[in-house]
Amino acid sequence: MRISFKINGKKVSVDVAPEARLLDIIRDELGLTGTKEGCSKGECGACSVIVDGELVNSCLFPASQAEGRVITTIEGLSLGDKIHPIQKAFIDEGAVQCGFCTPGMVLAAKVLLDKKRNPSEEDIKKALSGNLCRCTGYTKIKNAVKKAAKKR
Amino acid sequence: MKKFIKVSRLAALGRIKEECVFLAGGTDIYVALNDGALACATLCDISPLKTLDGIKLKGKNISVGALTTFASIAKSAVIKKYAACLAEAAQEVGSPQIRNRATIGGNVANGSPSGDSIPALYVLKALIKTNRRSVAVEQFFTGPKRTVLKKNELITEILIPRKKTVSSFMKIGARKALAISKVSAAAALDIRGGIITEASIAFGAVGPTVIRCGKTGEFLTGKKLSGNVIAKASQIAAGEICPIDDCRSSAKYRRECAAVILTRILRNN
Ligand SMILES: Cc1cc2nc3c(=O)[nH]c(=O)nc-3n(C[C@@H](O)[C@@H](O)[C@H](O)COP(=O)(O)OP(=O)(O)OC[C@H]3O[C@@H](n4cnc5c(N)ncnc54)[C@H](O)[C@@H]3O)c2cc1C
Ligand code: FES
Ligand code: FES
Repeated sequence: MRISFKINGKKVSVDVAPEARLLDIIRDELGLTGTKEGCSKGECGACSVIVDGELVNSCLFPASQAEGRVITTIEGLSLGDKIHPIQKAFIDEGAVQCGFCTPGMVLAAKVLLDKKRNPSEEDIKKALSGNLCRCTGYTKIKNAVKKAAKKR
Repeated sequence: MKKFIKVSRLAALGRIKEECVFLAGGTDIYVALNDGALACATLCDISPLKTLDGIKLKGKNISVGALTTFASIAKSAVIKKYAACLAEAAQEVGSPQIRNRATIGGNVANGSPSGDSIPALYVLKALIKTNRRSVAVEQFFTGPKRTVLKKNELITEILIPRKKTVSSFMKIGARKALAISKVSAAAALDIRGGIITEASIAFGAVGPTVIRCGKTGEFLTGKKLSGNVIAKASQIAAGEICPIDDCRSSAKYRRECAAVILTRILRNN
C-alpha cells in the first residue's frame, strides 16, 4: 500500500507492506538511521519518534497508520549545521556515551519541553521513563534536560 | 501476513467473512509480529473508526470508547472525577510512549490478568459493549488471555456508572515504569457519614483472571475505616486471591504484597 506523510518538514510518499513498522520505513526506505532499534518490544525507547506531537515507539507503530501524520525524527531537530539546544545541552553535560539511546532521549526531552517550560525533576523522570540508557546512569541526561529547559 | 483490511465504518465489519485479528494501537500486536507470531493471520485495522475514540457522559454512565488511549484516560477530567482508579491505572501503564498508543479496548480484549485497566473496571462495575452485546466486566474474562469475544466481535465502548464513589488503584512491579504488574489492586468505596455503605475490591495478576474479593467487600460494608478494620480487610483479601509462582514473582510474595497494597489504598481514603 502507498502511504503519504510529512517527516522532518518534508512530504513523502512510500510503498509499504501493510504490516510494516514505521521504524523500518524510516530507517530503510527513507535512510534516516538516527532512529535506533534496541529491543523491538516497546521496552527501550531507542526507536522513539514524535508523531503529531506525541512520543511513540516506532518499532510498534504500524506504518499504515502513519498516513497523513506529521513525524519528527532526530534528524529533524537540527537547523542546517546548527544542532538543537537540547542536543547541545546533552553534549555540554556529557550525557552521551555510546549514544545508542541518545536520539530517543533527546526526542523524549523535546516533547516534554514543548509542553512544559519549567519541568520539575519528577516531570523529567516521568518523561524519560520509557527510554533506557545502559551507559550514563541517567544523572547527566537529567542534568542536560534541566539545562536545556533553562536556556529557553 | 495473509491479508490486511482497514475498516472505516462499523457496519463494514459484518461483511468480513474470514476470522480477523483486530489492530488498534498495536502495542500487543506488534510485539507479537516482531516475534514472528501472527504470520498467517488476517489483520483488520480498526483505528479509522474515529467514533470509538473518546470519553463522553452518556446519561447515567461515562462512555469510554474502545480506541481511547491510556494517555487520554489518564488526563481526562471526567475520569478523574468519577472513576479515579481508572485514571490512576491508566497512568501506570508502560511508559509515555506506550500510553500514547495503547487503547483500553485492546487492554480488555487482550485479557491478561495483569492488564492494569481491568481491576479498575471491576470495582467500577463497568459494562463491556461490543458490536453485538453488552457483557458485565466480571463475566467477560474466562481465563488468562481468554474472553467471551466471538469471531470478529469488536469491543466498541466501555460504560461506567457515574457514581460518587471514592476509588483508587495501586500496582507493584519490578520498577516504576515499563513493568507488568506482579500484583495490582483497585478499591471503590461508597462512604456516607463516615460509614462504608458499599465496598468493591479487586486484584490483578493473582489468578487466572482479575479477582473480585466479595468477602472483603462484605466485611467492609457497614464499618468505619479504622486501622483495625483495614488490617482485617487486607487479611481477608489475601485469603481470597489465588496467586501462582511465575517468571515475574512468587505466590508468597504476591499474597503478602496484595495485603500491603490494599492496606495502603484503604489508608489513603
Ligand atoms: C513495553 C510494554 C509495556 C506495557 N506495559 C503495560 C502495563 O504496565 N500495564 C498494562 O496493562 N499493559 C501494558 N502493556 C500492554 C498494553 O500496552 C496493551 O494491553 C494495550 O492496552 C493494548 O491496546 P492496543 O490498542 O495497543 O492493542 P493492539 O495491540 O492493537 O491489540 C491487542 C489485542 O486486542 C485485540 N483488540 C484490540 N482492540 C480491540 C477491540 N476494540 N475489540 C476487540 N478486540 C480488540 C487485538 O486483536 C489484539 O488481540 C505494555 C505493552 C508493552 C509493549
Ligand atoms: S526498539 Fe522500539 S522500544 Fe526498543
Ligand atoms: S549512552 Fe549508551 S545507552 Fe545511553
